[in-house]
Amino acid sequence: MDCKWVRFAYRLLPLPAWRALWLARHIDHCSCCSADALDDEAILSLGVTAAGLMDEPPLRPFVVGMRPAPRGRAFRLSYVYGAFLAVVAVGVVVVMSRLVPPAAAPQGIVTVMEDGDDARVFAVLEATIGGKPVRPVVFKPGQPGMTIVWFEKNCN
Amino acid sequence: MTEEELIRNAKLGDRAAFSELVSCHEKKLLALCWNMMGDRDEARDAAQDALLQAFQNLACFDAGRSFIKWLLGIGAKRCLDRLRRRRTFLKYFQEYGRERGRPADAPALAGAVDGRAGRLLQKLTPKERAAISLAVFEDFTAREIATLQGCSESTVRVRLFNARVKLKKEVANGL
Repeated sequence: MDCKWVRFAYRLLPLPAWRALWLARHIDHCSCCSADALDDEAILSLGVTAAGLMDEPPLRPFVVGMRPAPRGRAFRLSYVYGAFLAVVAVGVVVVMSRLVPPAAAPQGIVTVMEDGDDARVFAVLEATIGGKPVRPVVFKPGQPGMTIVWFEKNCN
Repeated sequence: MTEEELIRNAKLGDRAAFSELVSCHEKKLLALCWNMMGDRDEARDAAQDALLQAFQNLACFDAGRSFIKWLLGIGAKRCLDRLRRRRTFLKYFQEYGRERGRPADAPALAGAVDGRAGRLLQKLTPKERAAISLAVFEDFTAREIATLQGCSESTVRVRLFNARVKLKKEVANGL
């Protein structure tokens, strides 16, 4: 394989795994490519090594005032407490929902009286909520074909 | 105290133990950051960040691993983050300069490449620089670098090769 193609293939980013494997295999076995690469010793002379930084002031004092994040036992326990509180909250909701009786649905007798082909006239003969009589209110909002009926409980 | 004991104590919040642990390795961390950032001050900031992050995440450190490699891995990631931010910063200033119809007089950052480490290594892309700094200066294997960079081992090997070729060209050009 031509080494120029290898360089060209590298520049076609992104570099998918299959192409990287293909290139890596070529590089490992190609003496021509190896000759074009700078060796470790020369690279070491281009950069900074730990041995060359002996005169640098230390970094430590900046972290001395800090404390590590609580990731140990306390951190794990916080999850346990959280889960426990969540279970308690769900339990409270379930118990409360059973204690509070649901609102009674209105019951009644409604008679629909036909009056002509299109119009419908109805009469509420009797209506109760929870066994107690309630007052029906009929409201016509002004839009054709719409009538709203609701029932009012007598709270007195 | 051995390194294992220091790590154990540091995990329990012993700052003196962490300080002692760091003192053994901080020059290596600083050298890595310097090679990656190309500037002393930025390298110190990145190394400092890495130390803080290491200290805060010490509980996550697996005692079976090498502490220095874990620390250097954090350092490399912090440097890559900073280089990414620097690129965005430079791009912003270049666009600003273009809008104003004159070259951006932004960054000290652009020219802030330190003599020794900078010039040649800065010719590489940040990921190539990270790979070459870890592999050549810190003896990381391609597999370890791949884990750090979240890519395949082959990709790292190719990246390393390409970095070596670029550096050889630059050396030949007499930089």
